[in-house]
Amino acid sequence: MDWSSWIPTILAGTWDTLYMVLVSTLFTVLFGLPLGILLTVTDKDGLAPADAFNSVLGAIVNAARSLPFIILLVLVIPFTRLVVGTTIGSTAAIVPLVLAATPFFARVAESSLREVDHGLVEAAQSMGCTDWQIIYKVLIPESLSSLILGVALTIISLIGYSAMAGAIGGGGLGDLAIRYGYQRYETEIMAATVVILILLVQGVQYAGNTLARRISKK
Amino acid sequence: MIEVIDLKKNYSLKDQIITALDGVTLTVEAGEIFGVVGLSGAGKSTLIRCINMLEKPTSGTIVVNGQEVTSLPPAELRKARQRIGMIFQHFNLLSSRTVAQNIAFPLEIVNYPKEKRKDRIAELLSLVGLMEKANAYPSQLSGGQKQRVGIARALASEPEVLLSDEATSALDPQTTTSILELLRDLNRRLGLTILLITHEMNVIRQICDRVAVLQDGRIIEQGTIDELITRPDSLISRALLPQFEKQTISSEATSVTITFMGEAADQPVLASLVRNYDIDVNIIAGNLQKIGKNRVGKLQVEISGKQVNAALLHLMNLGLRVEKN
Ligand SMILES: Nc1ncnc2c1ncn2[C@@H]1O[C@H](COP(=O)(O)OP(=O)(O)O)[C@@H](O)[C@H]1O
Ligand SMILES: [Mg+2]
Repeated sequence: MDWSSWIPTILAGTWDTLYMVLVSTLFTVLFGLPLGILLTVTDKDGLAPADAFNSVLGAIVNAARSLPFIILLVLVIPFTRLVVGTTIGSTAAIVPLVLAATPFFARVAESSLREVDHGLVEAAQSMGCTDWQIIYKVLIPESLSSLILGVALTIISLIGYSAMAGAIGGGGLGDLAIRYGYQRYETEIMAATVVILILLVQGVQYAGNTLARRISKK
Repeated sequence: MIEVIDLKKNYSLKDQIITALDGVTLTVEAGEIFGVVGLSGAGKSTLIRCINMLEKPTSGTIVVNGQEVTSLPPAELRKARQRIGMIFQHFNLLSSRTVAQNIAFPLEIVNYPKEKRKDRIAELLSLVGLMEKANAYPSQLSGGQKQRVGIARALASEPEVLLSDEATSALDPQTTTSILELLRDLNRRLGLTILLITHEMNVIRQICDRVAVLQDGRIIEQGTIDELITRPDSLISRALLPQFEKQTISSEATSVTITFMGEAADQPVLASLVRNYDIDVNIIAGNLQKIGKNRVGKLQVEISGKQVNAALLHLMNLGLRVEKN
């Protein structure tokens, strides 16, 4: 087999995967972190308890999380068309990826934020902080290291999801693996994509761990 | 400086109501160190947390710095809290910030002028004796050092009042003493009013001017240390002074317990007694200690001879407390 002709294909696939995963991660954190904060803050032991709101939000998040990704992919097609104007390609795949990862990251962020010692919140309150100041001066900085591990975990999930999304027209390594590896029996291509996916996951985990350790002063 | 009037606090837990505070009334004067002591579960933390409204009272009124905190709208309550410092048993320092950054925290909250922050932080660090630790993280400090940071942080916005919730309960005895000395020093130098709660009698002994004993959400005793010490039936005197067990060496002699306070504790009272009266004194047990500003001694003695009653009368006239055993 002539690898040199495959390399551009594999590189393009890798690039598509990275693009999907990175952009999705960006939006996932952008939507998921506020959602996680909202879940934490409105909890009955939180800064601004709002029982009914918290239960409804929690139920929505759980429902979204229990939906199998492959079903979500199909369900959101009309929505995707509305948002990005098309339903195929890497950019279109970002919509279901963000929708799937956001509730996941919201829960992960919530559990990180909850780990912050309540005494710190009380100390901040005793100094006259607003709830908002407590969120960005206490909760987020104090859970940053744990949040970063959560982001790494989310990126890893997104790498997995993106391979699935790729299979139904999103491009990327998943797409390559299916089209060449599965449908055309090009086992080497399949193996190459799997190796790259493994390296990506390992790399993300390693980077996450290192960064989290750097940040933590505990 | 702090006035608490008929404070009540109930917690409802599922189907039952827990009364944590059941009508507490007390006044903390400006510039004094007021201690609230009581067993675990007595309601001490609830009381001190009501003072800055970390806990919302069920009923009652609390006035701090002339402001009725119990009826303040949220924004003004936050302003009021900036004038009430608080320190905690577990220090509650931000682990992600250095010592200097922790102290900067309240300055950020009160919008202290940026260009003056550095100087203010240096000033506070020197106040608590931690200049060389400015860039350390809390995890690199000992318990006593962490509490010093907590104190510096609490004082950063120049509060009139400091609330201390078991601030030395997680510290060893030596460190406790050094922290209490620091608080005493700050009280004198800055005129800082301190309300502290503790379950340790030692804390009361070392720094409090006045004390209240809390039991089951009620104050059962209150007064200056000096006056409570001289009352033999007070809980404080029983807790702070040693309780000698009753023992008789000679059945003919009169066994008495003498409590010395203030000047009398520094005088050779017994020696002059034996010189001036026709008696013999046999010391059975004794103790001399410092309580607050005063030295307080307690002696169990047996007195025999012809002039026992006259000698005892003499002691009482000197202002000593004499109890027959
Ligand atoms: N948040 C709470 N919810 C329910 N009960 C509480 C709460 N905080 C304190 N209590 C109860 O109130 C009483 C007084 O508690 P606390 O003020 O912490 O006492 P202390 O500080 O003297 O040990 C205890 O019976 C305790 O169980
Ligand atoms: Mg307590």
